Amino acid sequence: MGSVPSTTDVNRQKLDELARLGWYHSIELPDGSVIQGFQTLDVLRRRAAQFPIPADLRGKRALDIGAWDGWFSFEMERRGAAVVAVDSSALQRFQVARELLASRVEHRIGDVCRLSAHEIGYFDIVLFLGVLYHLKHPMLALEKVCELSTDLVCVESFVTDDGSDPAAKPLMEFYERTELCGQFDNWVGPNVACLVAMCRTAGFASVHLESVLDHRAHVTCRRRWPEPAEVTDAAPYLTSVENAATRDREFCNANDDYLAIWFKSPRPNLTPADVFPRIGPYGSHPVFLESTGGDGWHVNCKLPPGLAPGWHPATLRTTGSDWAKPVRIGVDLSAEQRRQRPPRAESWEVRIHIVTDGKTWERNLVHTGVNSCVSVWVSGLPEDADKTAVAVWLDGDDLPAVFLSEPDPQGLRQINAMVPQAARPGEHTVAAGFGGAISAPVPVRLV
Amino acid sequence: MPVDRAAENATFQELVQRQVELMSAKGWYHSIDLPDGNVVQGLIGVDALKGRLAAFPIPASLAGKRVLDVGAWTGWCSFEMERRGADVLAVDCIDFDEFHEAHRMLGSRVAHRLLDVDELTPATVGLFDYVLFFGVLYHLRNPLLGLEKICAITTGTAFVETFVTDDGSGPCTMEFYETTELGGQIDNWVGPTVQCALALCRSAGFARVKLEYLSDRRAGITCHRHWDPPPADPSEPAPRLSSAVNNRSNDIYFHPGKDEYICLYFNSAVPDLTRGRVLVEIDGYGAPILVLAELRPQAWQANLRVPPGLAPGNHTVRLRTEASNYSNPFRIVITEPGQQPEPALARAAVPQGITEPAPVIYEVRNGMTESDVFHGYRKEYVCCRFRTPETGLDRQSVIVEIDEAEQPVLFLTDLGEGCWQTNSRLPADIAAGTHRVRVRTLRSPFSNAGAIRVEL
Repeated sequence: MGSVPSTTDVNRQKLDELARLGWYHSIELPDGSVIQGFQTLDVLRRRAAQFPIPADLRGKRALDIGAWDGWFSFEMERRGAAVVAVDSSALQRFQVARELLASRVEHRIGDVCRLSAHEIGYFDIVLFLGVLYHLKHPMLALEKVCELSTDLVCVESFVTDDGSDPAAKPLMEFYERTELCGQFDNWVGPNVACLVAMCRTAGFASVHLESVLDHRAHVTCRRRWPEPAEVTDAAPYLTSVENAATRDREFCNANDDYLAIWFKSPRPNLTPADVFPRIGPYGSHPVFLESTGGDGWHVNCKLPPGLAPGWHPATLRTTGSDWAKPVRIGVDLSAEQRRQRPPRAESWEVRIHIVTDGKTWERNLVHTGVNSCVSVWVSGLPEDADKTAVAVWLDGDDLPAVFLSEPDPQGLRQINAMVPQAARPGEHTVAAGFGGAISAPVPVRLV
Repeated sequence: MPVDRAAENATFQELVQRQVELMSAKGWYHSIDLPDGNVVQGLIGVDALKGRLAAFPIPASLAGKRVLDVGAWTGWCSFEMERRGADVLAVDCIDFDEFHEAHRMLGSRVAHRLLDVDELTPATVGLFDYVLFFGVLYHLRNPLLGLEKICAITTGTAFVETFVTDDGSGPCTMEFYETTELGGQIDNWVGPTVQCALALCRSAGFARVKLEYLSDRRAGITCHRHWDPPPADPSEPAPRLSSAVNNRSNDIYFHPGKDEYICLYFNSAVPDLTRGRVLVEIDGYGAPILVLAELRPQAWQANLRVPPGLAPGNHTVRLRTEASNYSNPFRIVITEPGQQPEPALARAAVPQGITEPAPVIYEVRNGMTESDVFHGYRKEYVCCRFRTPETGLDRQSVIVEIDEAEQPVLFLTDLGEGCWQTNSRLPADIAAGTHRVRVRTLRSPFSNAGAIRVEL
């Protein structure tokens, strides 16, 4: 077990010191004088310096959760950000400091799990410092923090070890009462491996442990993947995207939804660290990756939190490749959005002649289920058309071509595409698209 | 130091793998015994199912009781509860054909709904005398939240069965499974030790939590919402409860969804009280104490969580020792959901107009020294003690004036026998000399004047 600080003399001294000073954070006033708090300016600056927070935050929104006396809020404001500070109770010292600094930081009272983007919006930077171990539901809070952020989250938490053991497995102590430092509002003590794993599970693209100092871990969580440093490989090719549970193309923010993405990649021996799924602007790391034979792969990743209701492009890249041609997924679609067709010009050139089930060859009928496939015979495709540039559209869903035949004697080319396993039975339409052009829709019945 | 984790234990992995294979072969998870004596064989045999149930103190007759089966799967437990006479709701997050097939074969009237644990609330499913929570806890990313949801809909007893990572000798910790570490399944999230599973159940708000059995890394835990009844022949005097307030505001108002704690202040002549010997209940539901501290001889403070699921409105707190009867009741208020702490509202809620007689001040004291002399220190509270026939006062409905200026009442204590105490601060600019203190309630005229002396 990691050694956990208990109510020691050191702790008691700390509490005495706090009682004497009153302030936890020190605050530097415009005239150069300093309100001395328990944490000196040097200590506070060192805490902030553990994270890659840009020096210039003009035009950015920052959220400081558990702001306490407010040093971090005022520091983000000093760097140019529009700042919202949140704490669980009203603190007079914050208001005093805010007035002395003539600050415009907005202060709100609220528990972290009840913050909502609807009320406070989204933030480029979220500071989540010294709060996690005070929460009974740490995973829920991290999911909420992820949802409110659009780019960078800085997480600082008490941890039970120093993270130096590479074999350490994710483990969390649970404090039913006053086991941690004699205070009953401390609930959990993760080890470093557990803190990092929970951050990843919350829905961030990437999670990086910056440092562990004196039982405090500093973790940088990012919602976006960087662009590849150098493009050396061909882009992967998506063949199908489904909701891993419902097997259709629709997702719900309130559910714990995962995407199942099938793709082809010329790069052999992929590992999860080589695959970068992206939905809308947000990265989501693979939680599962398997080879499906040949150059085929299947990857699962979490639906990243915070996507607005509507259609979003899902894509991925591998290390050294460019992004794959995206496939649209629907998130919390309204009935109106569900009917929305992709914004493409209808083409007189591309025309569907035949629609069949890809296995039974029944006309204008497709059996849904595992490996369900639709085949269309199309005229009007350019001779050099590649299957990666061709798609079949089932109502709103773009189904990438998994097969494109050479022209037959009549000049028709066959396109095969995978239909989501749980596509809704009933009357639908299919269209075939190439580049910016799309054919007129043709009726098809799913059974 | 490497930690022994169940997820890496080879024997355990093999066991899980074998179960998964068996299940895909059989299709049914629970076996189902049909009325004609035939049995649909599932992964878990009827004997094993009966054995698991028998390990819990579930009454043989459940006539007139409502029972909830969370994670019902193929439904053997639901049908067994129905057989014992209960009105049963089975919920699961997946719609298993086998449940419906068994339901038809048995001619069952068990209700079935597709719900996640997070969706179980008094509003969606109502309240239940008994709740079965078998094999679900370790599938939750927020296990304590799940147990709180269960506690909130349980009026009697919940039976929790879960995977655990040790034999009960380990510390209070929880393994976290980011991907497929536990049994190769992505929907396993946490592995608590036995100690941790018990602590989670207690923290969720259950009064009494008992480990019933432990075998093959599965633990059975009974979680009661009530204490045992007080002894028929109490050998200790009942405590006297003087205040029950929100730890953040010192108000009697509590906000659903916020992480608020109740601070109880009480007097008891019983020496050497410990946390386990003091039993607090709110509306009859037991609530375990997190911290108990002796403030002065016979004067105690206890801190505890607000039990989940209390509806908006008035609620009654009382407490007893193991060997005593219950104390006097004390009122707390749960506000409407979404209502933010707003002290002015509390005052506005009291009907205006003088309907009660004036209180009578019998002493005013310096809270630090118990004299009537003040030196202007921050912690020298002005303690104004008075009598009134009014009951159910809170700090917003009492008004204290020093000279002619109102001073906020920071704390109100019910001293018993119609006696009350307000704590207020001295005005920051108070001058040396003698000052007049008066008190009234929102429904009464001002009292007689007490006096304090300030020596700066």
